Amino acid sequence: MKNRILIVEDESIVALDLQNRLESNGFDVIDIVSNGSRAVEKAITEIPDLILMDINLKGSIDGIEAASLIKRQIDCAIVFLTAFADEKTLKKARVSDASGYILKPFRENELLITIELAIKRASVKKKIEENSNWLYSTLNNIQDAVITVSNENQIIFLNESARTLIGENVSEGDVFDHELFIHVEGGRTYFQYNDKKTDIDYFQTDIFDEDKTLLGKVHFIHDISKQVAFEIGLEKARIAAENSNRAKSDFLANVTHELRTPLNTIIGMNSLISELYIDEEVSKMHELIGQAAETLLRQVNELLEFSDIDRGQLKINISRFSIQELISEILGTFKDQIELKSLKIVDNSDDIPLLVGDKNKVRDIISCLFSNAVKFTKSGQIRIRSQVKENTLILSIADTGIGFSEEQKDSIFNLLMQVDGSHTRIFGGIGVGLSLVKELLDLLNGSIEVESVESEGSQFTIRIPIDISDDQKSEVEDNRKFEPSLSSTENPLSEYSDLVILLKEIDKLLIDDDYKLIEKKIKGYSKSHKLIELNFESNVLFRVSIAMKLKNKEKFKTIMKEVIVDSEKTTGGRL
Amino acid sequence: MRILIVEDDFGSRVLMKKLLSVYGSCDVVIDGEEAVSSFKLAWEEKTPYSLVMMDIMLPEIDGQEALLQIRSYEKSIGLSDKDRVKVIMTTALGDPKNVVTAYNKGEASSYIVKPVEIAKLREEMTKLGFEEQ
Repeated sequence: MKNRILIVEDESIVALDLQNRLESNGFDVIDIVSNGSRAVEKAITEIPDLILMDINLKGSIDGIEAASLIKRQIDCAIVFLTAFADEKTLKKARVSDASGYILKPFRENELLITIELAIKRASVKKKIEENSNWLYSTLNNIQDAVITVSNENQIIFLNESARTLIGENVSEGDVFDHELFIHVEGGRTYFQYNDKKTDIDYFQTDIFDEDKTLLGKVHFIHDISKQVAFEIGLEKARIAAENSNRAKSDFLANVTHELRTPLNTIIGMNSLISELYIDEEVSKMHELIGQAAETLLRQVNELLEFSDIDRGQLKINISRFSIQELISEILGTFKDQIELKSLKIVDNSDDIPLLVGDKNKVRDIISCLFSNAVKFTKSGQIRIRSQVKENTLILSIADTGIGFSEEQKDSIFNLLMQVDGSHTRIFGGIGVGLSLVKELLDLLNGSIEVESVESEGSQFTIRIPIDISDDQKSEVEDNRKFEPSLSSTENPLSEYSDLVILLKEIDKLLIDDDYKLIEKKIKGYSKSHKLIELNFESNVLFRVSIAMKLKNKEKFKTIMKEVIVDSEKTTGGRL
Repeated sequence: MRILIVEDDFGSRVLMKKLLSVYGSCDVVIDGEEAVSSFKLAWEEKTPYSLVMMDIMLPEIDGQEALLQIRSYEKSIGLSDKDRVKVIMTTALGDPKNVVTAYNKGEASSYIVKPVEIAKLREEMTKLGFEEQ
């Protein structure tokens, strides 16, 4: 890029000569003007890189005046040409901040060197100004207050943020003694100005020149009042949340206690009723009341246990126990439901010696998981496997139930969440279960893993730190174990439960029979084999008749099973 | 007069049947699916139900859904609105919002909150035009 030069010279021969020399040396002469006013005009419109200005010009203004006019408007190098070397002229020229002078007549190389230098200087000056501008812009735009002071605490520089902090009417030259404004109190640093106290982070550093002379200091003041306010707010919110939680827990505990008290009365009084002489109809009502109360009590207890954990009140009780016994016990509790759904139970557990741990909590955990497995499995099997490895009890329960998706996996441990949250309440219960399991496991330092495939099944695996008992002598065992296996015709009839026997008989029934006939057949069979007394209420027959009319054998069998199970409960015994 | 009771809780079933037997002969089913089947069969046998007492929370298909299916069936056999079966929805839920939803959609005739107040039930039955027999 060629440098552009404007020649201001009233002697045309000199001007043309200059032009020739410049052009042959690679410069671009944009114009030649002969007076000051034209020079100013041209300079402003063309903005040359350099102006060769003759000092003595014809016209109202001379070169020096023209130069100062131009300098006011644009940035360019101006080199004066003069025929005179007198003091007066030179003095005048010096004041005007020229980039160089050339005395006429001039030598070509002198000309060229002066011009090059002038352009260079102008460009360096521009750069310095630019950098300076960048620096000032940066400093003025940062949020921190920056104040540079001399050794006598006189302000050399302060940025916009500092002006805002200290005061608009403060300026360079004023004294700024930081110790007057910055205080440390109770672990916090403040900037105090008049009545305003601001939380700040404060930092200062000394400025040295290259001879290691201390020139002054720079103060950096960072306003942290917003942060502090936020932290205070956060702390308040945390305390409020804790209080709310505690209030909620207390409330929950209170409510469940309030619920249990009348329940106990209901259950207690109800059981006393059975000791009185009552007729059959009243007896049935009494039975129903009892069952409903027991169910309610179970739910309330689950809720109460959960709130106990929540308030950190549940303690750990260590005792010896047999895991097999626990499992047997649990299976026994769910006997009816298992039979009703004809679920196959498989126990693949290792032979595990007596263990030492919190028996009740372990039971509650397994019971809860097993309850879910039974609840959510319409048909198929449930497999239990337990083992002890490296002081850890590992127990898994796998079912062929409805399972759940990846998305649901994360939320199943949430309180009150059931896989099927809609009103299609096939599965009953209030959903405290799994979150209770999680809490109990946390208490025992255990863990749980879950795997599931929708519509195929789920597997829950728990791990609980446990010890093997030194004393392996077992106590007198309860021999009433539940064995749900249905196979082996070698076993005499009495080994099977009545339900099983009757179910086999029902299978033989034809769906085309008249349902009254079916009632007769089944009741008769039960009587002759000395099984339970079957109780066919009229609404059952109605439902069975619907099933038969719709030729729904599965439904028919389901209803018959219900009848048998219900009969066991209500009539309670063999003939 | 035939009445269909749809209730999945054993105790409630017995209670409902006892209470409603004075109005007519009662059939009891335990889920939404049975309710719809029985309702349809009753029409096919030309002895339709005049009243359905149904709980909202039911297994298989819930009360709301069963109700919709019943109404849909009535439409398909060309019943006019005034000839449709009367339906009382029952619920043990604290807030009757779900009941009111069914009620407001015009599909149920009335609703009752459990535990049932006998006096309230009798009042509703009278309102719907049923008399003790």
